[in-house]
Amino acid sequence: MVEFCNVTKMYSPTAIALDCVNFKIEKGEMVFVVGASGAGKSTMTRLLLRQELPTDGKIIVDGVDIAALKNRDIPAYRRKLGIVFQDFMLFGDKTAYENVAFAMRAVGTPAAEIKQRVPALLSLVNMQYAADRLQSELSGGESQRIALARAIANNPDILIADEPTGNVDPNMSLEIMNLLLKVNALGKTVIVVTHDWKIVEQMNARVIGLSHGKVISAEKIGENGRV
Amino acid sequence: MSNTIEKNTADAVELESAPEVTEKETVQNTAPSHGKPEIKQAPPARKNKKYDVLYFLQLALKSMRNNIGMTIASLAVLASCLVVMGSFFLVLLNVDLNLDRVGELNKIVVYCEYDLGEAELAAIETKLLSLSNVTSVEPVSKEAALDEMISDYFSYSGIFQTMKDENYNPLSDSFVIGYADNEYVGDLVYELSSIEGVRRVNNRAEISVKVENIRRGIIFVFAGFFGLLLVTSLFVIINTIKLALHFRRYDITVMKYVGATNVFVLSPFILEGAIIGFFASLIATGVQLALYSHIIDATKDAFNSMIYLVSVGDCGWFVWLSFLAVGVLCGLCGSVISLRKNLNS
Repeated sequence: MVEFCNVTKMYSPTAIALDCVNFKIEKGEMVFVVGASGAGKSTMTRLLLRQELPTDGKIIVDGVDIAALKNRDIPAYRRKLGIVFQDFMLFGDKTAYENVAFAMRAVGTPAAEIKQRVPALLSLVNMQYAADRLQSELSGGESQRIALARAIANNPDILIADEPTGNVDPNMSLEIMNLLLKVNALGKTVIVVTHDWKIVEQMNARVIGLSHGKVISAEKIGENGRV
Repeated sequence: MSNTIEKNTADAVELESAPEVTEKETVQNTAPSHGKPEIKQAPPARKNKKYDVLYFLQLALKSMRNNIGMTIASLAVLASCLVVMGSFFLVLLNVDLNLDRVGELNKIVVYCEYDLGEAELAAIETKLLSLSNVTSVEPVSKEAALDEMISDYFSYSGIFQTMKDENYNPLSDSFVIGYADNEYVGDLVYELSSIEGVRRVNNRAEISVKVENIRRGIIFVFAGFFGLLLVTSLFVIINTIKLALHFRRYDITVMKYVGATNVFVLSPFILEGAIIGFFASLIATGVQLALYSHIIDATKDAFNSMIYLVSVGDCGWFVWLSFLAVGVLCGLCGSVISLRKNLNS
């Protein structure tokens, strides 16, 4: 589903964010991308979102080289992705319902379909009670759940969660992870970018370890909880 | 709240599958260098998109309200531009209309001495017909000239009628000369002036040239002012849309992340430009017609029937439609230019 083939991203001769990175993520897999600050996680995310182009190599998503996409094809590609950000990126002056509906409206979903699916999405993330509350009135955990609902609103194939537990407390972090597992159980490919090892250790999932722009491991987490 | 990760939860709410896609999107196909599976084309986009125009309108109006200063500036500049354009147009319209009333300007009028007899007038006519550049000679008796003056200056018809009743005619007999070659009109005027019994020669061609020069001058000044104001209007609208983009940059970022279509991202801004153009045209029409109406009222007695002004009723609709077309077009162009320059940044 997602394949990085000898991907290098160089901002300058002395700033190599990713260096000949190779890994593959299968369809329906849940994968954690871990690494310290500066390891290249954010760069990897930006490349996957087609915000930047790799200096070298290819990024294949669902059989398509996204580096070769024309600018007019990028919106269509991004509709295959769902993104959850550390800082939620929700609209504070919109309700939970409106925030989720916005993603569907933005891609031209008919109003009747929006009306039908948004309550189901809010129910999936256990936020049906907060549908009419403004995002600014919600807690960090609640906001992140709304962000997750929005991320899957357009039924993407791949869900990318960039530090989804960065702004939430430990209890809520576990709940967010459970929700991501729920989404993965629906058949979505889930990529979680994090530096929170405590969360990763509890998952029986594959971990792609990055360090100084290189992949140091791409295997399932071992019995001792480490790669 | 759970404090462990639940594995393989099966009670997920079933989400509806995405609708079938039918359109094709082309992508450059290149195979990975290290022998991996061949890259295929990108899947086509969703076809049955539905957009709520009222929603875009709502966003456009909200943006105009948020940047009220720039919106007012855009309206004022564009409306001013339209009023200037309209003013020059109305001047030209009235000049052309009154020129038509003056009659044929490519003719020469030869005024004879007062109180000439029939024989003397016939001799003058014969001489006129003998001139080489002359194509036609139309005699106009002093009685006919007086009648024409009465009909042209009907406000003074009382005075002229009194003259007629008292058998007093201050006008003279005249001949309207048609000529073939404009290049030799100067020579013809000289020849006509030399004929015995001719009191004065009115070369309407000179008037025609002067009026034509005035018209060209008006058009030149009009084009200059209009161009300048149009560029200024475009500049102001471009900056208004740029501010709107800046104000909604967070929204646009989120839109881009969720894969919003270009229609969804751009429509509110394009609508905003069109709305500014529309309202500017309304303002300009109101100001223009009010000014013109005031001018008509103020000069009615000054000109009497000498100069005729087109009524507001005759030109009002045309003025409004022209303003609407130019205003909306200007607004749209400003939006498009601003979006092309500033959206990606």
